Amino acid sequence: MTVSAPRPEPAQIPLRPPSEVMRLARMGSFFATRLSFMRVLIRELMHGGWAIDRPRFDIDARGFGTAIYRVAKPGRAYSLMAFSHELDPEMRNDRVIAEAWDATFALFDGEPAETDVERLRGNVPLQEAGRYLASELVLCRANRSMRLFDHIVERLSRGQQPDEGLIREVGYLMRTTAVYGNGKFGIADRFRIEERPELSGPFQAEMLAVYLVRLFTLDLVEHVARARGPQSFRPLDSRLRRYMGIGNSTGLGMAPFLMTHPALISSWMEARETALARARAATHFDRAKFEALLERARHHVSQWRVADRRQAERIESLETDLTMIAQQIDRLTTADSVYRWSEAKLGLEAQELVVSLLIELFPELVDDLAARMRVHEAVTLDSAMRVGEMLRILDEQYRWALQIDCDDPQQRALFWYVSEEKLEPRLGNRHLEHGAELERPFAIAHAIQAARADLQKVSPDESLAVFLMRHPEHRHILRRAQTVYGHPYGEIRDNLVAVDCLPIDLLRCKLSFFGASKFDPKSDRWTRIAMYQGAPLPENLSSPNADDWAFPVL
Amino acid sequence: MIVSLNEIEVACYRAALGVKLSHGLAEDAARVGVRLVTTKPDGLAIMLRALRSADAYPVLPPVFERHGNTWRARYSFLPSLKAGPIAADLKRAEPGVIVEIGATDEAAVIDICLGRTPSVPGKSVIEVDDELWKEIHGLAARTYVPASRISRMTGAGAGSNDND
Repeated sequence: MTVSAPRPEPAQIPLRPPSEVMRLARMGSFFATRLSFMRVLIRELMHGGWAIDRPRFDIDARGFGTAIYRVAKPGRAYSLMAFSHELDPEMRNDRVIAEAWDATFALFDGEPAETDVERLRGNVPLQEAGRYLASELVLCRANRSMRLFDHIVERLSRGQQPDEGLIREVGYLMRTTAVYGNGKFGIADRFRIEERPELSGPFQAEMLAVYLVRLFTLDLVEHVARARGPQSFRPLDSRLRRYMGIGNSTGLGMAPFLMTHPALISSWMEARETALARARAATHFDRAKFEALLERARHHVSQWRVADRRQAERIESLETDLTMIAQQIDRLTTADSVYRWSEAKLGLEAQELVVSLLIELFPELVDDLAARMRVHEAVTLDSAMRVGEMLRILDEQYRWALQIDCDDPQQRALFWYVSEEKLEPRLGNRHLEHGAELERPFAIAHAIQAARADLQKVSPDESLAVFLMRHPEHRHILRRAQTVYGHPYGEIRDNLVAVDCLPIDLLRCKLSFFGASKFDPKSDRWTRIAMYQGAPLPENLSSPNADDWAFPVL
Repeated sequence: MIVSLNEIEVACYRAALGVKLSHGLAEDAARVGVRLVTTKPDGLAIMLRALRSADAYPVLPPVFERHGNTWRARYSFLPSLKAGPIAADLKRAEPGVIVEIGATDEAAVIDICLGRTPSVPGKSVIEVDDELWKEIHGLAARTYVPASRISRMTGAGAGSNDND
């Protein structure tokens, strides 16, 4: 087996090593980049020849009913079916364990017949309790932000524009609380759509569904306002309309994906790091453009307000750091010097924001990398490998894991598990709670150390086949180690069961790849975010600068 | 009912953990389950029998011992979900070696593990028997941790009401 180091680039600037990038503290400081999946989808909608329309909008005056949004081009169509319901405020819960929502949605492959609409009307409002077919690609639901929704209805119905401060504070009309793809509850498996150019990138079907949900929320609020004040109604100002994103509440359910798909995660990280290396190696540096982007980012950060004390302090430090770089920028002559200065002088949040800005600066150098953010996840065990070779791989690839004191109870305080309650992924404290015997295999360092200790007891010439026949308990971790060996950014180099592990860092990393902004942690285990804030609406997609929506401000 | 391949893979993985296969062998069981269900009309029934057998015969490792060029089963009966992946490993590691599994439950599982199943296009629509599907999920449910107030409030970190 040959090791795959980060792929060399013609750019002469080495990629940041996994030992630096794959740390929770840094991953938990990531911002969206132009390689994020929402950005990729918007570029597809801009350049792919798609038309977006709304063939159905049977919504009553209170905002309840059925609507369909269609994205189509010759030979292909996708339809978002939206079902809007009356919801008892007592039932409004963003957790996966909720059982009713303000609105529920399915992304349909093609154009639904009336029989499809009827079938889905009987199932989609039930979400996980319904059953679906391969004609459905994505399933999701959303709850209204009542205070902003009601405020906008009230204002527009009187012919007034809403309070910009409130829009800035909330930023969306509805929050999605789960977005399901890849075969869940009977919907289409990923393999059915992964060869389609528009959906071949990661999570593109999910991103399309959420984009269309955003359009629905904007139409819905105007529709209800118009019904309330038909004579006085005025539509939402186009500037406010474009600023409005779609919210999302995300908990631990998102985290295990980062551990269970090491090859895919490595491809995302490697693309991002390659983009940074290319930007740093660029021979030209448009300082004026960088300064404009930096100013926009500073403005964006000044509008990022959260109640969570830890994140609020981080934002405060970030603002200070961004002021420092603004004062320094005249003395920095290349993209690489900007990066190196920020690396030496600024905190992690600011460093990673600079990464996003530098990548943003060079679309012509980086946009092709989006095509590399996918991988065929073939997980096979090389049972012919000798024990000696396996030990060498562990010592080389898992040095970080071997340095953790696994005898320290604090280093094994947590356990990840699946709750019987709606199969929600949860995190427990093994010293205080029951269920640790059912934990998921995310104690990577412990498993590596245990396997290594047993490997050292046998001949280095023994095959893994024989070793694993005697030790089936190590089968999972050794197969994983072989897989990760070919994917340098595949392993998070921190202990995910240590008492001080902050799952919020995992969530932010993954959400940044989606393209989320305005991370608003509600604890160390769940966060609210904004998606598509500032993204072009269908009427903006043909504008020449439609793709320029990083770090939106109002 | 009609199910997706992802559902089959996840259900088989969890059911395999539920019958106390290791995480690694459960991963193999999940792949076997998908292959069975997509290529055989009674694939899910075969998988369920194999899982029940693994549950009923908790053989301790090692399951084979070497006699010259042959690996011979150490037990008079070996569950296929345990014997199949290990036999495949041994054959891959040492071409020409003979592995004698002896009595087992499902030959179809062994065939898949050893790559003896002809490559045929899998079914595009997977319909499974509701009762069998429920039984698979019953085994998978052994891996779920019962909910409690503390797990509900701290396990995922959210509150109980999200009106704003």
